[in-house]
Amino acid sequence: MEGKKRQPSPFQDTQTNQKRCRRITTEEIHMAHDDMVFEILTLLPAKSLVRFICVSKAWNILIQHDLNFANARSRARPRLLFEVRIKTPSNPEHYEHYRKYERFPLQLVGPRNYFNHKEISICSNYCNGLICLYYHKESQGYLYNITTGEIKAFPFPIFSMGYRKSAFARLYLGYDPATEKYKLLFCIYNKKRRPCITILTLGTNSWRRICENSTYKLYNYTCTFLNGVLYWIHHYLSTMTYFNFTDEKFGTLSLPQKSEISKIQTALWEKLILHPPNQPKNCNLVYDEVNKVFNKFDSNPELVKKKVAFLEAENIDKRTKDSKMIFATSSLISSSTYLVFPYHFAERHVSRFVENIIPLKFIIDV
Amino acid sequence: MSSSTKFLTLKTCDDKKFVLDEAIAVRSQTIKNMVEDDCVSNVIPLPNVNSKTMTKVIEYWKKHSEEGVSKDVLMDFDKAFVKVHHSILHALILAANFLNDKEILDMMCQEVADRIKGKTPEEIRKEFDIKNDFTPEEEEEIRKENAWAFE
Repeated sequence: MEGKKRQPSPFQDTQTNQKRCRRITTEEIHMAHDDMVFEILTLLPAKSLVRFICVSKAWNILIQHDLNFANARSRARPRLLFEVRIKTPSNPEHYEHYRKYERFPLQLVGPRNYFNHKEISICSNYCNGLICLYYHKESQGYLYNITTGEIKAFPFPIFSMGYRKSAFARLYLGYDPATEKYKLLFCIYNKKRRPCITILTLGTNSWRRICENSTYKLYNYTCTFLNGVLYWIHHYLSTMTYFNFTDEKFGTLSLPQKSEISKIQTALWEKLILHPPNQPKNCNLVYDEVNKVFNKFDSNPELVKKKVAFLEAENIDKRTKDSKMIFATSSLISSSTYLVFPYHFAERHVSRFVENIIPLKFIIDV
Repeated sequence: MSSSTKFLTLKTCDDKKFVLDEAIAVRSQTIKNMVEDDCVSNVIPLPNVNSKTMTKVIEYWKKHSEEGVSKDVLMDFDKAFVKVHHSILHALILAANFLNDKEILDMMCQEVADRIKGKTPEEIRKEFDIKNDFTPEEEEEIRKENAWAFE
């Protein structure tokens, strides 16, 4: 302790009654101060932080480019992201039926939280608060930041590689924690209709073929990105396919029984959790990624409390007249909560939400 | 129970002394470490905490050490506790950081976050005494790119 004692600074202690404060230098106070500013900023919502990037250059770098800060933020404010499909305009009667349940509020996310479904489709999995969109008219792919609402076209055409123009493109987005880069996985079909898998590191301009005549089955809407790995599971199959974005290799694994991903449990625990269909709610399996085995996942169904999801938004019906997809977030629910969705809207996807405020040019631009 | 009660004397930087039950004082990880390492003499100096701040900290420690206090009462106490002038808030954060009391620190940081989340960049610079090192053009550019956050 005493070893840390430094020379008193001449710039402090003008007040004579604070003589003893001399042992702490202004430098130390500044360091403590910086630590506190860091702590406080991790607690702020994205909108405040984006406004504060013009406070000073130091704040700008911290908020937009400091990975430690981004990680500390997602720990300090863990949230869930819901992709919600609106079926009919909301009506107070819809909630009547669920009166006995506590309401669980979902908030609309960011500045732009819905799209005209006829023009724009979601064409990838969710990854760190980012998703790929596909604009049909232009046959153009975009990267979309759900938190900031920023949308940026990919600098390459998706359809130059033997893909028919009218076909729906499916991209797989991943983050490689080793290189801190985002990567796109894309499956094209050669003349013999054999799938061929290519990969592109965002920020570079070349697709690399990594798997000719792939036997791996990549299913739409059944994949989940988690800790640098993308998992595909289809409830018809008793195998799981996964892709590791760091070593860029595929793998398959047999499941103890046919299952599907329990998206909400996976999001809550940040571990891959599977649910075998036609089984009670508590018969989940958890994937141990180190030993590559599935274990029984214990949860007590007695404690489960039902809550009804409630979309907290004004004029949502007017805004969603032509669109069906809504992005909404919530605070973390307790793992013993079972969310019920009322009739007029349904959950399509749930994942852990990272309020990513990195400008897309830092990801995409070559 | 009272026979085993040990008291510690804490001395703040303005030379005020606080006599406190050791069981309460060890809510501070810093003091706890000193006690465990047996490097506590009669008086523990707190060189960068003043008496006004220490009075607040002890008020919190005592309330949260009381037995049989309901959760609701504590919540109301905490709510009232954080409603202080920002200079005291600032001093409390630095004190909680020095004393290594995560409970007070987290609560105070959350209070600051709640207070500043709706502020403008100008207000933030004033609050944290930060010099704006952007040119007006650079600042305008950033504001334009992120117009949604300023709505």
